[in-house]
Amino acid sequence: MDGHRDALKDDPLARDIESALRVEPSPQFVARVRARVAREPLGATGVMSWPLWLGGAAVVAGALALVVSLGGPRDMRVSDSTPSTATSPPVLEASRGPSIATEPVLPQPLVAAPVQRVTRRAVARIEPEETRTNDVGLPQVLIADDEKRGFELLVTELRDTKRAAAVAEATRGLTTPGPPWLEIAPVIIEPLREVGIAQGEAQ
Amino acid sequence: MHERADRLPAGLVTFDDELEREFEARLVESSTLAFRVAFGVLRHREDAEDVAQDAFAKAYRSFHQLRDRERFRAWLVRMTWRMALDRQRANRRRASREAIVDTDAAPADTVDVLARERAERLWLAIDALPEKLRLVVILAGIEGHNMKEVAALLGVPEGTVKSRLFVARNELRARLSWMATETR
Repeated sequence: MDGHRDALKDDPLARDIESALRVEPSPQFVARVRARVAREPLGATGVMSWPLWLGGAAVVAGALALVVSLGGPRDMRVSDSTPSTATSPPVLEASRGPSIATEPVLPQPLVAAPVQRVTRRAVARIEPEETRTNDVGLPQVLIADDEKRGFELLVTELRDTKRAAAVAEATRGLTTPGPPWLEIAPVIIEPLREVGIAQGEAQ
Repeated sequence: MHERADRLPAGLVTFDDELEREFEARLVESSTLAFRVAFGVLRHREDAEDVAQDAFAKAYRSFHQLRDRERFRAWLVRMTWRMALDRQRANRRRASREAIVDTDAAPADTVDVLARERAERLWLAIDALPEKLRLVVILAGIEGHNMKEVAALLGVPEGTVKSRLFVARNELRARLSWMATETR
């Protein structure tokens, strides 16, 4: 190696290159570098290195995947099934009576949605949702005791008034029984939902 | 740089202090190398010092990430080389812009016109070399570097350095002889 180096030194070209590069930095150079370095933060204090960034990104991605996997079937249920009470938000209807005031009433759809073919798979997807809804429990309405009592009194009063009016009407003979040969078939009013479905089928 | 570490008792030297001490040692032993590598590209003393300074600052910021501290010189050389090339490109762009305005700038003092001309021709020839060959020529030309050291600095086998240097010298001779015959 040294022999090779000596041979290079004998080469005028090598000597030229070496002399061209035989330059020294200024005496203040090292001091300037020290001063410059003193202003720099050592390492990357406060800055995460790439493995940490990678780990953090993986954790975030995992959490997102978990959220998506848990939330995904719910979205599919909504799209696959007819609007059911299980997926509708609970709405409270306080005008039905005192007992309603403490338990939520789920609304019935006024107009039936277009008929959709509910496959077994869709049913299977619906079922856990209902059980989950039951598990979670619906919120209860908090009403003050005096309000509840007042409401109960009002309903009872209305009921008594109606009953008293009916009794008075019967005693006055205003209501006459119909002829025996006339038989009126009982009127069956189908629920609105089934009517809507029938209409949908007709269409 | 050592002020903080010096105030602490011997047993309470922190990891940062240890790093700083080690970096200081590397700075002392490698400052001329970094400067010369930068000078080999830029041929301008102030620019070379600036670039070497920047390279040291960058090295300092990432010093804790360097697992094999024995590779510091090679690491520094590569950083300095890259940064010097970037500076050279920027200088060339600036020079081409300023050349339009400052066409008749006075030449620098001519102490030894012949030696200067010879050096200029040499540098022109070196600049014309491909980057890999150029780096080998400059590192081998820096005093104190033999083939093994150049190979260690570049992280390539010694045989690669030898062959690159051989090709580079041949190209330089060819260019310099051509330039010599043309200038006659």
